[in-house]
Amino acid sequence: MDTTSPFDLDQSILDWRRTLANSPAIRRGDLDELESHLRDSVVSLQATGLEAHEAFWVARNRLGGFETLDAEFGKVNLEQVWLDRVLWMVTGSIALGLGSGLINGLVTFATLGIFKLTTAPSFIGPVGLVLHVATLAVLFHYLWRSGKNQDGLICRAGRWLMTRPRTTGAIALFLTALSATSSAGAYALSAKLLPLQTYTSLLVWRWPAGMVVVLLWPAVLVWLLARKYNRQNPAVANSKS
Amino acid sequence: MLSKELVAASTVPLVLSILAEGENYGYALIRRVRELSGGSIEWTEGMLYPVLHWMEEQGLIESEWKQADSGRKRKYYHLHQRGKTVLATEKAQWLAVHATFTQLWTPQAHSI
Repeated sequence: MDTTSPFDLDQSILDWRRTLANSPAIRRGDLDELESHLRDSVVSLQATGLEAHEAFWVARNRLGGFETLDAEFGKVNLEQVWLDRVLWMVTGSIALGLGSGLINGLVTFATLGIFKLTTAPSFIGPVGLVLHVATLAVLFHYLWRSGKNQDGLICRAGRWLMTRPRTTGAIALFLTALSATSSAGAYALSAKLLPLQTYTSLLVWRWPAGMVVVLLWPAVLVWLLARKYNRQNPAVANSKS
Repeated sequence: MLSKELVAASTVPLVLSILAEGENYGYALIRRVRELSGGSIEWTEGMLYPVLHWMEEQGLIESEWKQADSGRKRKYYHLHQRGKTVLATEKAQWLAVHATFTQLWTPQAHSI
């Protein structure tokens, strides 16, 4: 260690953050919070007369070293990290399925309405595809921008949903039921309105195995949410180890 | 110093009780508990955060990043409706335990 150069608190904190970031159990939000804690601790220790480097050293040790924090967060966080990722994937998959079904339906009805046709001409396919891709592109662009901002609408909505597993599960089930009903409707209608059926995105409903897959996602979602909701208090889990 | 088991059992009600006074952040929670207990309840600092995150996940508390006067950001926690309900239950239970011990350990209780 180079003791001749002056102590740089910000650089030391940055190095400390980088070390902690190597732990898969400690996420970026955790790091921000731990850093905020460390800085508060350093300030109050300096107020008692400690030099900056001494205060940093004491504060860091009080918070816990890499091994301690990695283990403590790991006991409770690893499963959570895994659950969160899968949960987002499943939620995204359901949202994408519903979203594209909705867009496709709207595009089909709009095009049929504009051209006042009872049977769909062959160009609806390509037009619908372009509109579909364009809508998704706009949506993804917005989601990407909002997702980068911690206080953005998407992040806030995500946090709201994630802390209310029961509500989220209920919403997922409701949307699935809605989608199932509309698909069943489209399927029933298709006997009379054959072209419509050709252009609904939910062709999967004509394939029995597809229904199982469609119903499987919400089931997985509900299971994940239940698992998340019923996780044990980490303080109690800790005392038993 | 409190035993591991007692620390584990009391962490959630302690956090809920402090947050019932108003929103607060992790570092201040630890200081407050240390002060109030006269140092007999000493939390492993880094361990509080997983507990806070778990409480948030359970819908007991909510968090929000806010800019402090110093210009730095701090994550503040505040009670959520479910937290208030759980706190009321916890309070009744701890008071029941306390009342029992008080009766047992008060000299007059043994006089008859």
